[in-house]
Amino acid sequence: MTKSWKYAVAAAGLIAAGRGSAQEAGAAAHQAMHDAMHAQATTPEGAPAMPDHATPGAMMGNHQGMPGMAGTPANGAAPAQHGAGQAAMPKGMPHHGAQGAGMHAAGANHVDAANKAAMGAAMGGGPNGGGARGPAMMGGASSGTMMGSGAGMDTPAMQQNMQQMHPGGMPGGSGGGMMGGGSGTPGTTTPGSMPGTTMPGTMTPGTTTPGTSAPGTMTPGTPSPGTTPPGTTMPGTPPPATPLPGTPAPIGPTAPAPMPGPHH
Amino acid sequence: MNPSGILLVASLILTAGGPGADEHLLAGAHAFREARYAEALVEFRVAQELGAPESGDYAGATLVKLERPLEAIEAFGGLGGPGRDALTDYYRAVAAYDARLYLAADRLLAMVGDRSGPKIADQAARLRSRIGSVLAVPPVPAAIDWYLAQCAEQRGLKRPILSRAYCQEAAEQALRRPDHYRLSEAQAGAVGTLP
Repeated sequence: MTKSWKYAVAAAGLIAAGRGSAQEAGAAAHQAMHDAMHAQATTPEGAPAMPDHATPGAMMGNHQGMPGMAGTPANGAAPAQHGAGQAAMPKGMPHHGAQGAGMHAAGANHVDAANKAAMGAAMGGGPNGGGARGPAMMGGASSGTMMGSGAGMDTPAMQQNMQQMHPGGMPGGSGGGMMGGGSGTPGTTTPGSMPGTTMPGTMTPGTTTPGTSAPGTMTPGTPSPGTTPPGTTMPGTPPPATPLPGTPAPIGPTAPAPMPGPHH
Repeated sequence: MNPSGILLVASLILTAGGPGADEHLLAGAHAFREARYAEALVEFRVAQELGAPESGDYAGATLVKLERPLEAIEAFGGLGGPGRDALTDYYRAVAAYDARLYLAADRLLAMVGDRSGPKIADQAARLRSRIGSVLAVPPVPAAIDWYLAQCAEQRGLKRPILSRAYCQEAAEQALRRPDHYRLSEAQAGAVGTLP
């Protein structure tokens, strides 16, 4: 056997080993999902009813939930419901959010995304950076925007849609700003259970699910000597939290599109 | 490049794609088990893009749990024929049930039958019992009107899987009436011959 053929045989062995382990990993994943599907299988609630209204779709729940209030970093957005249909909050796509300073920052009305955005704020903002929060949204894309503090300045962290302003902390180091883009899948509508009768919309207050905000790791900034004025905290004037409706997402299946933000 | 080089490159290519998809599948499975369905859906979608074909069924099951039955039906690829296994068929049936496609749901639940374990079989039986109460009487014409309207609406939205499903349901419901109300129209929509 020539030398090159010995290498070829060795490479073939590597291929076989690699594919074998990949197959094992795939089988394990499928088994895990099968078990999960079995564990979560439930019988749907509610009695079935034949649709019998002369005007089709009259009671389809076309209302999307109002955008949830932007939560604090520890709080997710609160879904709201109204109308006869069940409001469906678009779910953000925390996955593959922009990474700034090593953390995800994804703007979405998802509890976990908000938490990740908050974590990203802590990481990216430096000592003076305020926390940004995942803004609530209705479909479409939104971005959690935050600005790192500049040297010697109190820089409030800004949040798109301006639900609230957070004053910055002590002046000091420079932090990297970053923007995390998130994409929301479109909300869907759920047919009302009683077609044919016009039911008044009832407002059901959304439930705020407290998230768990993991503290980010503060990276000390580099103070700029001599140019740092005394730290004055500019109190933000929290405007009344008004849900700003986002742009409704188009109806239809929207493939979740990871929207990587700029990396720093 | 000599043969060994070619094989080494091939080994890298072959082992690069699979594990990535599997990692997302596994992450999705964990999220699904913990009822974090929105996260699970993201993982399955990513896995699907990375080339894991079974992720479509998993995404469908997740959409069922997210109470998005229409998208679930599309993720499953429709409601016709048996699925990959009884468990998947059960989730397909629930999606159909939630979308008011009762005859389709009943047909899928009948296929679950003995192929599943006792838990799923019991749930399937209960669901079939509920559907049976609805199907005990022939549908009123307005019900068939509703199904046909859904068919037309989904066709307008360029969602052919859903359009066909609703027209199919309309046709089967029409057959349950002595006068076969709007049957030919429903059948045309079910096979996609309507404009």
